[in-house]
Amino acid sequence: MILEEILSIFLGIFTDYTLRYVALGSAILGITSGALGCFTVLRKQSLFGDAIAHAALPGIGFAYLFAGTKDSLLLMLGAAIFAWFGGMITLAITSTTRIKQDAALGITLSVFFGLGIVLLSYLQSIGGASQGGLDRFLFGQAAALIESDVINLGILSALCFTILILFYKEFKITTFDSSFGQSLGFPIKYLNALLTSVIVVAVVIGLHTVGVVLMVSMLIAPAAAARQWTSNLKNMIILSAIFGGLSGIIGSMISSTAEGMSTGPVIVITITAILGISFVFSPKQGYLFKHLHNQRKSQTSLDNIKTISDKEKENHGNI
Amino acid sequence: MEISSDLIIIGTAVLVAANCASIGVFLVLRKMAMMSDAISHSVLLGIVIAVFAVGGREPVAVIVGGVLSGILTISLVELLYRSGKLKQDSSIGIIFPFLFAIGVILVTQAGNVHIDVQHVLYGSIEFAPFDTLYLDELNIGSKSIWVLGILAIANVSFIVILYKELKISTFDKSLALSAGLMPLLVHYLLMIMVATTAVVAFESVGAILVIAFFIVPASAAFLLTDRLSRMLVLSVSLGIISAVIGYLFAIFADVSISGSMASITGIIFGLVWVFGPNRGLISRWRRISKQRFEVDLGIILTHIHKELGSNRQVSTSTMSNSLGWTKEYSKKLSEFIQEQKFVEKNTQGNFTLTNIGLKKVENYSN
Amino acid sequence: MEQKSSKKNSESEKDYSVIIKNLSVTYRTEPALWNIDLNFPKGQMIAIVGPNGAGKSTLIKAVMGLVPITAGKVSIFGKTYSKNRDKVAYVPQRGSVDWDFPTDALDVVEMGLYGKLGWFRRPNSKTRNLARECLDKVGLSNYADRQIGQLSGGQQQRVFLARALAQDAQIYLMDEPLNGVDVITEKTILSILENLKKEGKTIVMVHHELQTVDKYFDWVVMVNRNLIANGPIKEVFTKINLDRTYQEKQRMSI
Repeated sequence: MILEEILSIFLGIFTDYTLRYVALGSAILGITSGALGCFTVLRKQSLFGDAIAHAALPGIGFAYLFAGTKDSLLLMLGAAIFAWFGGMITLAITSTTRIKQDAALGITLSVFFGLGIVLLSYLQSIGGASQGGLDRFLFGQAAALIESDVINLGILSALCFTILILFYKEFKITTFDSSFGQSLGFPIKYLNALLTSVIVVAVVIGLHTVGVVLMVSMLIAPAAAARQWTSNLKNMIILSAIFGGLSGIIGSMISSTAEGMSTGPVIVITITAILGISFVFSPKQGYLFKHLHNQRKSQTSLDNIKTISDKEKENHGNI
Repeated sequence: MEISSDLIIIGTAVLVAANCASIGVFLVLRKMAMMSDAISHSVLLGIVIAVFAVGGREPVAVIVGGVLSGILTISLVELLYRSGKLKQDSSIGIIFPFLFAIGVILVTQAGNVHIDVQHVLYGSIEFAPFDTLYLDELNIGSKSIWVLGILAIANVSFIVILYKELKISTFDKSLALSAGLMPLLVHYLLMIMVATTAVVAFESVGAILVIAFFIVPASAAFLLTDRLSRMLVLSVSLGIISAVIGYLFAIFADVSISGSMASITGIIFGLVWVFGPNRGLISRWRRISKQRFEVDLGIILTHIHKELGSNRQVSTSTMSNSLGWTKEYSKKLSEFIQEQKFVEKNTQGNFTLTNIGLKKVENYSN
Repeated sequence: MEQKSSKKNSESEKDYSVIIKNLSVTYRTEPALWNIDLNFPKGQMIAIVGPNGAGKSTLIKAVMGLVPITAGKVSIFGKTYSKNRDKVAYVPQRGSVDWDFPTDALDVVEMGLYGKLGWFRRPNSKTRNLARECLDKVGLSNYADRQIGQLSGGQQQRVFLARALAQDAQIYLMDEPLNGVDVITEKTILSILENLKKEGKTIVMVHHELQTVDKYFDWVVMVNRNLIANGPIKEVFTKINLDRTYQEKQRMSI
């Protein structure tokens, strides 16, 4: 029976009109944040993604305030601007004061978010219901995606991947050895800014399906999971995108079965589960294989010791 | 004894701010700000489970549940991080969303829990006056004030009793390590205080805005003083001011109280960041400009001395050529060094060092 | 304050690959390098020595514009660095890189060719073959697909050298490449550098070990914020200069 249910949900992706867009939108998020998240993780900027995701919230509020409509593109533009702004503030704090990065991230994250909450409550008080459910951006609501949303997300995602492909080797060298890259003539500062911008776009895509609060997980977990399976950057990016996309689809499918469940939490649990599986089962690095390998190794050593001690006994008799 | 609702809300806010801002000082100094992010999110799970288990929002159960899940978080992060598979901030960014997500799902799916999703994020301090405590049918006042008050006593005791250990382990880890077991104990105790404070404050301001009160006033205080004791006082003061102003603004504009308070902490931080004496952007900019000028002065005088020693002439135009400076800047510097009587210009427009100038160059050569 | 320079000004500038004039690099009020006049002669093995924090790394970084220059000029074969970038290969310190990065030895060497590829063009079989040749030259062809974190310190250093070789430059600026490497690596690196020298290339190396300076190098630059001495080993690498280089420097009061 359960199998039938799962099958029907799965088929629903193709047949059911709304489900199709839910799945598609979530897949787009997962693929994009999975791929780009590899760079955040490798740049040691995992939590930076958390700060810029939270910073996006007031941007959505302001966009709605000024534009009045729920025009998806405008909301995303507002989100992008504020996310970027949040990122810049974080960098400015660390470079102009003795405050360290962790506190700078905490400041940006909480203050911008607080501002966002103020705006949301203001919109609620003046507009009543017309606040348009902007709180769906807190935890994501893939079910609210309509065709035009998904098209927009698709375009943004394509933009991200185009830039990623065009600048792949530049991003690689910026992340791995920036001073060497600089010595070759690559403008490292601009490349870093470009990479941050692309990550901002990934965050904006994610707002619809995962929401502001949990976005950080989608930037880290797929990349971390992929890293367990490969030591090659290109493969890592591809695998991470696959993991992200899968968790997006599975997560949004599952959450669609329950009334009014936000998609964000389910997607996050899914990708974390994938990560857990990767930790245990990946060849070479996984715990399971390490454990088996160690067992075999210690058994061999024991056998060797026994052989040696037997030989000694033969030579010297029992002592 | 009727106390106005406003007063109770402000009182609650002030206590939240004070509690968080004091502990937050140690988080900022120990570079554990993001740990507060992690803990304040994941206490939700513990709270939800506790509420299920006990069948209601029993304060003791809630606190225990929250603290336990806080400890769970820290342990999981350490585990992940020490396994070598992930860096520390990646571990944090994976564990807390996971635990928080589980908590959110439990909250939304279990119908009769008295927590709703929005409350989780930004609390419901508005309801503090209505959440009263009864002792044998005697209304002894707002629950939040009582709980926060007790927490404040606990926090103050913690800080006072362990002040020396906290200070050492925060500023001089190597010294602390050689002193034995204490640093580890202090670390875990601190984390427990963070979790407890987060749980209690959670009711009022929710998961994310708690972070504002932990980190922002403490960071502002960090820019204003070098002394731990002063930093604590400043942090708590700034936190309290933010809470009061935030509340007043929220009432005036009819917006979220907790969001308002968090935003005000940010505004106060911004003011300190820009205008702060010594470390503020403005005084920093002035100081750096002055320093740059001093350095360039040293360079130009040393250069003149060296060139003259090799029988070469220096004039304003050769200056900009040799040193790679703009003509305008070189001119400005040349005028300055002539005014200060460090050099004299001869008839061909070339410089010679005066005695004063010579003395200054001697200074630089040590 | 004097500078000991063993070369008279009458030397023609064509004998030098790098000419540094009036170089000062300061961080806020603290000068890392002060008023340095220095030339790197072509086709020589040049050592840069000095105590910790003396500005040795800063010196080679300044030559490449990797740190902002407060005053002075650097010319490479008569032009600025940005115009003659392709003539210089930089080998940074090993610790400047995260060796857990998901990449293999061959990939790292191939990165040396990114400059020649320019924007948007992708690495191809030609670049890969070139990279393989360079890896071969340092004796690591069997390690081409090894993830770099699995290499020993010496092997990592050789990968860095192979990357520099891929750039086919005229000047090699190296930051402590012989620090903490095994004997084989040291021998390999030095023999490769000897061959480069024979081809007329200039090798500049920040070197950490004073005992081996006269064995490995032809020319030495002794720096401790100021230029203490600069010239052929036989003339300049003396006890007096060593004492002056390694004496405790007072903080410069600016």
